[in-house]
This record gives sequence, C-alpha cells and structure tokens, in this order.
Amino acid sequence: MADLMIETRALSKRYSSDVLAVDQLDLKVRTGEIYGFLGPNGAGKSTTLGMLLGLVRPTSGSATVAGHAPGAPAGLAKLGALIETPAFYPYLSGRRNLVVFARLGGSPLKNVDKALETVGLTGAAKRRVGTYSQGMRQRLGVAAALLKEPGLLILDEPSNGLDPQGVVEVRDLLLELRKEGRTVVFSSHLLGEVEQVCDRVGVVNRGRLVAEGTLQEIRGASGGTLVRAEPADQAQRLIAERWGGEAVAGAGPGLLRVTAGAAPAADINQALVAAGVRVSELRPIDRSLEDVFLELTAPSGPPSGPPTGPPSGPPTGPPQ
Amino acid sequence: MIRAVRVELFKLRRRPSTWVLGGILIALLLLGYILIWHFISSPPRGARFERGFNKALALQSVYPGSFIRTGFSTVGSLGGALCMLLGVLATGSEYGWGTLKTLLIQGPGRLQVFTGKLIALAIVVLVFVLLMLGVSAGISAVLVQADGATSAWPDTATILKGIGAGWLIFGMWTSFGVFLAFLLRQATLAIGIGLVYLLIVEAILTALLTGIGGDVFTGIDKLLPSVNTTSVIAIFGSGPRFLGGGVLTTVDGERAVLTVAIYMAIFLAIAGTAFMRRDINLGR
Repeated sequence: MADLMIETRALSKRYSSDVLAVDQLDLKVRTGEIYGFLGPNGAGKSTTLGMLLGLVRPTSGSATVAGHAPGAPAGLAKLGALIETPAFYPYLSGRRNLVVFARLGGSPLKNVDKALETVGLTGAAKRRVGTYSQGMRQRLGVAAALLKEPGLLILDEPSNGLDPQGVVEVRDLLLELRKEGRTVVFSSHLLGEVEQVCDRVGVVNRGRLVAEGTLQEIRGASGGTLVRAEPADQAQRLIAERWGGEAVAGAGPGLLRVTAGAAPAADINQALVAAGVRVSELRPIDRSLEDVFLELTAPSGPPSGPPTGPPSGPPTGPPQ
Repeated sequence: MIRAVRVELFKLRRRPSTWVLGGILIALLLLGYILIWHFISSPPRGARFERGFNKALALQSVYPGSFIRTGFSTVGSLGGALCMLLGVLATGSEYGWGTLKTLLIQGPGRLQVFTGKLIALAIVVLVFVLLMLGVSAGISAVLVQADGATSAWPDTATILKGIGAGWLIFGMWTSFGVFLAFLLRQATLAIGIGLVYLLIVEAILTALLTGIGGDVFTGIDKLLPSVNTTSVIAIFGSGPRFLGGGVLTTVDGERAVLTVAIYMAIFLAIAGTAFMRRDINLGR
C-alpha cells in the first residue's frame, strides 16, 4: 500500500449524549491522490476535517496527518485547508488578509500574489473582503489554502458558491495539484465534479464510513441491461420464460430492465430478434456515483453495515 | 511568538474600531476638561459649591500638577468600558467572523495565538494610556497658560507610576473583555454583558453593599473591581468634590493594585483555559 498521508483509527466525536457526529471512523488517504470525502449534510464531514486539523478535539480514537498528530505545528506546516465557509477579516483587503495568514504561517510574501493569481483574484486583491461576493470569498479561501504551497490540501466544499466557470477552474486546479504530486482531500456535493477528479472516495453517513474505494469499486458492477423493444410485453414474456421472471422488470413505456448478471446483452438481443421482436436499444445500465451515493446515504441506508469497502447489492435508482 | 504579535498588531492597527475607541477616549477627555474648566471659571447661576469653595484652588485640578488624577477621573468608568470593548472586539470578533480557524490552520499553536493577542492588546492599551495622559498633560498646559496661572508638573517617578497605574487599570478591563469573549465565544453577548456589568451592576452592588453596611458587606464591596480601580487612581490625589471625582477611597492603594492585578490574572487564566481546551467553531 502506498504511503498514507492521512490515517484515522476509530476516530469519534460526540458533542452530547444524543449527538454522535463521528463514529469510529477509519479513513485512509494515500499520498498523491485526490480523495473525495462525501456525505449528506450533517453526516460528520466537516467535524472529521476539523478533527484532522486540530480544531475539534476527538472524543476517542486517533489520527495521523502528514506524519503528525492533528493540530501539531509540524503537521500544519505541510498542509493548507479551507473548512466550511471561508473566513476573513472584512475590514482588510483580500491581499492583506492573505498577508496576515502568510506572516503567521511563515510563508514568503511572494506566495500571496502567486495564490491570488492562481485563483483569479489579482484584480480584486486591493478591495476590502467585506465587499466580496460569496464566490470571491470562496476563491480567496482556496488562495489561503495554497499559501504554504502545501503537500496536503484539505478543502471542504471548495466549489461552493462558485459560478460554472469557477467550478471548472477549481476542478482544473485540483488536477494540476495532483500533477504536482500533492495530496488533496475534498468534500463536495457536486458528485459530477467528484467523478471527474477523484482517485478514491469515502462516503460517510450519520458519522460512519459506509464505503471507501476507487470510483469503480464504489460504483460496483453494472446495474444490468436496459432493453427497448416492441412489443415490450412480448419481450418481457420471452425474457422471463428463458431467464426467469425475476430477471426482468418494466422500466418505463417500452423499456425493460434485465437484472445484472441474469443474461448477456448479446443473448437477449438474439433471443428477441429470433422471436420477431424489434429491439431498438440495448445498453448496460451504469450506476452513477449519484445513484450509489443516494443508496448509501438513504435514511434507511446502510450506516450500520460494513464501515469500509465498496458497497454491494443491486441498484435501486432509475435506469439511465 | 513574534510573528503572532506582529500579525495581531497589524490587525488592530488596520481595524477601524481600534481608532474609533481611541478617538472616543480622547474626545471624552477633552470634553471633560473643557466642561470642568468652564464650570469652575464661569459657574452657572445657582450652582451649589461646597462650603469654602476656592476658585483658584479648584482650577488647579485642570492644571499640569493634577493631569494624571484628572485624566483618569475625566475618562472614568467609560475608559474602562472602552478598554473592555477593545478586548472583546479583538478576540470575540474572531469567533463571529470564523477567522480563528483560518488563523490556527496556518500553524501556530493555540498558546501562540492567545499570547500574541494578549501582548498586542497590552501594547495597544499602553498606547491608549500614553495618549490619554499625553492629551491630559497637553490640555492642562494650554489651560494653565490661558489662565496665566502657574502649576508644577508632577515628577518623573509620579508620571511613570501614573502610566503604570493606567496600564494596570485599562489592562484589567481589557482582560475582562477578553475573558467574556473567549468564554461566550462571540462578541455581541460579551459586549452586552460587559457594559451592563461595568456601567450598571457594579454601581448597584456598591450602593447596596455600602447602604447595608456592616463588616461583611463592606468587605465584599472592597473586592469589587471598580472600587479597586478608583482606589488605584486615588493614589494620585483625591479630586475636588465638585468634580464628582471626590473618590471615596475605600481600599488602601497597594492592596488595590494587587487586587486589580489578581482580577486581571484570573480573567486571563480563565480565558486562556477556555481557548486552549474548547473546540473551534467551524462555521460562522
């Protein structure tokens, strides 16, 4: 296994007797990867990231971040982070805010201008942050995280509030950072973005890690085969006769869904055509990350299931 | 550590509220001096002075010989309130803006951030004291010239003691603000509670305790912060009664200095413990 940049061992945070924000979390982030940290609102993502940064004290468990205990100055020196809403001094300009943080972190002041340029804020650098839009604050938050030119970036919803152009820029930035060999942990509700940039993802629900793995592992096997045939009822009958009634189900007007593994697409096609049924569409049903995410984080989902490893089981979402 | 102090000083220097508070302090002082001088020089009709009132003697209170005592009296408890606000704003606002997390992520430990804030505040408070005494000295020099009178300046040791006393008193009230802000993890409630305590609760407590009398209640009264700060000021002479500053010294000077210092230490110890041990808000 590659070197681990972040490792948590049974990390837990209890805020009160009835609020267990993070429950026995075992997280592993490898050096040089982009790790997507996913979960619905209130799942415990920000609390976990807060614990990794030493801002929130764990109730139990332990963690290692960049080779150090969370919050240790030596570890913090190697990372940059943006947690929850970006926070700045409203009476200072964007540039002066970064100067404050650069001075405190011991970063060279030339990094301030470089970071501003990276996030496209050079033109607004002298404006007071109080006058910034949410998107500009978000960009400044990313700039602050880049000040130390860190080997590890922890970004909580970096695309939050950004326009489509900004979202694309953040995505490109993340890919660029990976190219430079940096490790990035980021949380996002934009699952499309996650699919485009992440090497691996971890999904938390109600404080527990319900899945962790590569995107392929997380999405699991194909969700079956979608068949558009005419007449559909005849096609359904033919498939049921040959592969069993449970293998096929209606999936909309003229559409059938054949359970994954029940029958190869080529065999279905051959059987239907031979019986005189017109087949106009035949394609595998790929589960998107969104399908899997919704399945994993459904109110009756599997938080009590295995804490790690890719999810399993048939898809429940609609076919695509 | 030096980095943290420099950063805090940079923020305080750039923050408009620091200048506003300093400006109000000076405005209060100037207004107080002018009103006192005008009141003594041209008493309003029907003004009731104490028996044996001597105008020339009374005017000495606005001349250089009394600039330390009169400076403190004129600013009064509002000076303490302004310093309390300074303490709250320098620390509690960080919770409101959510900037503590951004600061701590940069790498300094919590102790460094806390100590950096305290040292920076101590420097700003010293500047406030020097400004207040400097303006007090300046206006007293102008008034004595304008009246064609004479007044001897206090000796250097007394001036240095005055600076030290001001630093202690203002520092204690600033610590009170820091204490409230770290305890409540916000500025708004801290300001409300701080002002109500400083301007209302203490006055009511003192009135009650001295009204009831008796050793126990008088003893409790002598422990209140304001009683001790006014007793520290009284080291520099008791003001004439008509100033409303005829401070009733209820505590011995040395004991008052010690009590104020203990209050400051307690406020800072609790604030520091709260900051070191508690979670930092991740949102706003």
